[in-house]
Amino acid sequence: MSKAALAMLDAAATNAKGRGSFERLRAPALALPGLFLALLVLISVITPLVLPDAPFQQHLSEALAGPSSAHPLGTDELGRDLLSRLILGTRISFEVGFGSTAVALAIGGLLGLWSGYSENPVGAVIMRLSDVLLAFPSILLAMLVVTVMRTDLPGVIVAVALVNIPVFVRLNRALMLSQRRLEYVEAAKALGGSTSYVILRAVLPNVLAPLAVQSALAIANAVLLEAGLSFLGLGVQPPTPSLGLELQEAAAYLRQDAWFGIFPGLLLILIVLALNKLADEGARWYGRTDLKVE
Amino acid sequence: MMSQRSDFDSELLRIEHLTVSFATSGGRRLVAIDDIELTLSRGSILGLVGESGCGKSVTARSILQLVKPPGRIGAASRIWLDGRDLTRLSPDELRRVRGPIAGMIFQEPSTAINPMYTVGNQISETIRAHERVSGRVARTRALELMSLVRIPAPNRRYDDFPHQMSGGMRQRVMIAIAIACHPKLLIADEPTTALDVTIQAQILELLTNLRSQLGMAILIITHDLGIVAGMADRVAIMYAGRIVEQGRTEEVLQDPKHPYTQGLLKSVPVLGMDRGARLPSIPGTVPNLIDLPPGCRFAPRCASAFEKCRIEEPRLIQLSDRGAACWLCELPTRPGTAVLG
Repeated sequence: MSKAALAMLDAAATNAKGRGSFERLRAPALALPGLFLALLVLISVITPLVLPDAPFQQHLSEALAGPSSAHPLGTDELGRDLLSRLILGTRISFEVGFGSTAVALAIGGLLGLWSGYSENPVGAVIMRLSDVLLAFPSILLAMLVVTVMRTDLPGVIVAVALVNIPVFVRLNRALMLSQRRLEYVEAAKALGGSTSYVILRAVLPNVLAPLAVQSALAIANAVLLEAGLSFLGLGVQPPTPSLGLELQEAAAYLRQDAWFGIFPGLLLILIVLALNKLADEGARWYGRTDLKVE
Repeated sequence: MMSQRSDFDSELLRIEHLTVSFATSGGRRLVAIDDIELTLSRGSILGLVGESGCGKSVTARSILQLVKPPGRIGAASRIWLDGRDLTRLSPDELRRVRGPIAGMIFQEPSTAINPMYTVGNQISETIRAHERVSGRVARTRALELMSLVRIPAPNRRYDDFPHQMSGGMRQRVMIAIAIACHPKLLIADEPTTALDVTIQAQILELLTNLRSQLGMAILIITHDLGIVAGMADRVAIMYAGRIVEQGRTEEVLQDPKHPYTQGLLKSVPVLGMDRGARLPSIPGTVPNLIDLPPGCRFAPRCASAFEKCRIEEPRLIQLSDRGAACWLCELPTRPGTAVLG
């Protein structure tokens, strides 16, 4: 990141001093991984639009070439440009990461909040079901779902979402239990708020911070899981690139062309690290301010 | 139970045989409210007074069926509000009572208002939860309500968040939210306990004014006899889950029949009293509700207790317009004494 951007962030943090909580937020700690991820998202969305064919053009004569000016990260075993394949692969990772987390957050979140709020016995059934799902090793569960469904993008998204749903169910239930005895919830109820009103309009905005933190972790988890599935041949299918798929293809050529394996691996590490850092800093910030009312 | 009052239609709230019990971890049931009766007529103010843990807040919550588990309202309990028995309503019917028929305000305005929304939004949301009105109409009405509860410059304050307001202003917002749908009954659970004395006086004055402006009845829960003296038409004194005395405020405060009420009144500090003088207090502590003494619950702390008090529990003994649950009142002072319950 440029010095100018850092200076701007600093200025923003200084300007926001009056707002209280933001100044205590160590801006660079949160901004660095955030900017890195934002940049990756931007690149991985725009590049395939501008150069849709680049990841698929084969130049067999240049197969397994190291980094060069024509191919900054080298080429794969079919002479395809690794950089453009990794960019498209990153997009697949993000699609699975954001997509599956959105699905898990919506379904798991609603189920968890509802079962924490209502005294309905169905809530207990939901909790036991999510315990069962949690007891499954996540990669096994995802493999099972992908096998039953299809090995394409929607199938992978559903499979990965299913792994994350019970996590969100538990978290949301716990959050609701911590809120439901508070006076503002009781007041919302005392003034005629319906169940959906109390859950969605009154409580949900008050628990967004921990949900955001958990979502960042869930996305990181999903990116890894997608790479794992692709590595095992159960993710998106060739010729569509994916970080896991690239790693699996590179595994055969590690002795001849190490770069082929190093770049996708490095990228995967950086993405997951950035997401985890984002979650960590988010959690630290939340822990400090904690949305306390005076 | 018969009503001796001729103006039966003027009755807004009638609580009959209200019992609320809590399951304890030991598997026993703690009876927090034991078979109480209470009535409130339209447009009047009833003060429900008692010390901490006597069950006054639970009484307030049980009216709107807001008792939290493990608390449970007894099967024989009836809560008649505006002609309907709230204990028999479905959750959806109850939802339509909460707000338009009865509103509630809470002790701690800073926690009872949602910190994530502007105050104006919360007032208009309450209106829109019960009435099909456009956002603009709701906003106009919210602004009217804000001036009604005397929030200065409502137009500017509409978009404030609760943390930008003082405690007194927040309580005014809470009141505006509670009266947004013109309830016939306002339940105020210690509305001024969290506020300082000058603000307290303003809020109480506001409530009294709202009563006459909107014609709503107010049930005010408090431990402060001063508040009751200042605004309530009638008062009910609670002790250990029972109502021990009730009647018109002046009568009860000037001529308390129950030794507990007498003790409470004696322990109120009076301005200008001798600084060295000891403030009288009621000896002992409130009995454990799981392990109540036989006979009168107040007997162990009562200076006038006699043998009967320790054996048999007195029910509310009606003396014309007022009643006291004390065997002393049975010693006939007037011929029309009746035992109720």
